[in-house]
Amino acid sequence: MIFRRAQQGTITITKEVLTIFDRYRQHNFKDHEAGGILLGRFIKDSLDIVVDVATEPSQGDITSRFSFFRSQKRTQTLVDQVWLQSNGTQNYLGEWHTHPERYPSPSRIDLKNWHRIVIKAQYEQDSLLFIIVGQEMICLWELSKISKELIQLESL
Amino acid sequence: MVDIQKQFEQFHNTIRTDFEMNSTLREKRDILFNKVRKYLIDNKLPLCERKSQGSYKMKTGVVPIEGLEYDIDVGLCFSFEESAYTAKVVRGWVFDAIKNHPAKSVDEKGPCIRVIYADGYHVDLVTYCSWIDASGEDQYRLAHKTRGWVGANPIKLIEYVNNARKQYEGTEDNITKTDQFRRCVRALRRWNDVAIPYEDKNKPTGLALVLLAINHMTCCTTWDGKSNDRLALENLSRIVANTIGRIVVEKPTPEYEDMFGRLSEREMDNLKARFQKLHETLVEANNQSNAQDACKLLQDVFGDDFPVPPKEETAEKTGRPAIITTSTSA
Repeated sequence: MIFRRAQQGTITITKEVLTIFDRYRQHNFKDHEAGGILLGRFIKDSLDIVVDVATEPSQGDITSRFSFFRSQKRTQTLVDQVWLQSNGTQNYLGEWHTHPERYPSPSRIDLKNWHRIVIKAQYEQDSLLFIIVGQEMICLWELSKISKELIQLESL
Repeated sequence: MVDIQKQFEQFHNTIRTDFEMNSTLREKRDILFNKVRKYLIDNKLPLCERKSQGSYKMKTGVVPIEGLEYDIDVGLCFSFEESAYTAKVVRGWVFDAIKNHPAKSVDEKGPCIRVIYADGYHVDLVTYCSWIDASGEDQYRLAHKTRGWVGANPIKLIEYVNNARKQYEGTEDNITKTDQFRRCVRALRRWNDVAIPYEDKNKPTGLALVLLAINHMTCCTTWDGKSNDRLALENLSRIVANTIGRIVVEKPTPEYEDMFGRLSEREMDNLKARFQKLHETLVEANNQSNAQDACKLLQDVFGDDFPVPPKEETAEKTGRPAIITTSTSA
């Protein structure tokens, strides 16, 4: 799945990542929200980004039908591992979580959370990616670290 | 939408005939030409001029694989009308001049005399006569083994190819300074060799692929002017695979023959199926999210010389792992 970035370049979500999203889609009434972080690569000589990894909910995360809390420690260990194993080419790109609605949009809590992460997390790129996996659609937003502008990206 | 132009250019650099081999071939060519010339002088026969032709002249040669050989074509051009001597007599002069040449063998082929060397290469000597006719037109005839003098125009053919290359100006790569046309033709030739790694009358010739590319390929670049060889080949293979009936490409010079005419019906079907497969693979490669997967797919059609980059090579290195925070969503 490919999204077009606002200025130039694309964001590609690999099949492996889409498989994980599918696994946690909230189709049933009782399904809880799920989420994790996105890891991937910045393609050389371009503004293209490839999302290779989406982490799955793990111990320490708290989940209900309408909310999801991701703890930091376990996921940080994973970021460090992936970074090391990929010779520094795979790194943290942003966050994903599910919504029990067909066409997802960020809640007030989501927006506040994204803005907090963009400021608090430490990373080298100019923006972070946020994905909400709805029952039917997968939507992607890019939030700029500098301008704090939030842009929903169009899929190709 | 993965960018693999760099891999296409590396591939081209690997498969093009290298300078060293070209020098060896040039050296052999010059020795043979001088030998023919000496023979003609010694026997007080009409002299000939040397004309470069073929893939060496068009710079579309590829490194041979498996049972194939390096080759170079040399045109030997006599200045007289076709009625002056028979083709057989003129071929006889050339053959006699080199028949005792220290090579593996000297063979009489239909359109040429082939000198085969033990080290895996051969030189094809193609004999012509040429004159200016009453209307001021250059006339050329090729001395064929069985058909006598036959129509040809090696000079016009080169001009035709050079003209067709004009639309590709500005697409030269940094490694080899070669335009997209010649890069793609070489890729097609290697694709052809990978499928049929031996000489065969049912195999499309290098010239057939050059002329096919002239008829059906167009220059493909991205919005910022970078070459896109993958797309150029994708478009070409789609058009060719979707041809109704036989693929027909007429030579633009005498005898204006269909360059694919010698393929049997069955081989023609196979060829179209191969173009179909090439098209599907080029499309599928483009749908990959990383260059490694895309290039692995392309090895299937272009062979093992198509480079597969490690995943890391295509991505920027970051200084340190990011430090993440908790996340609360709803």
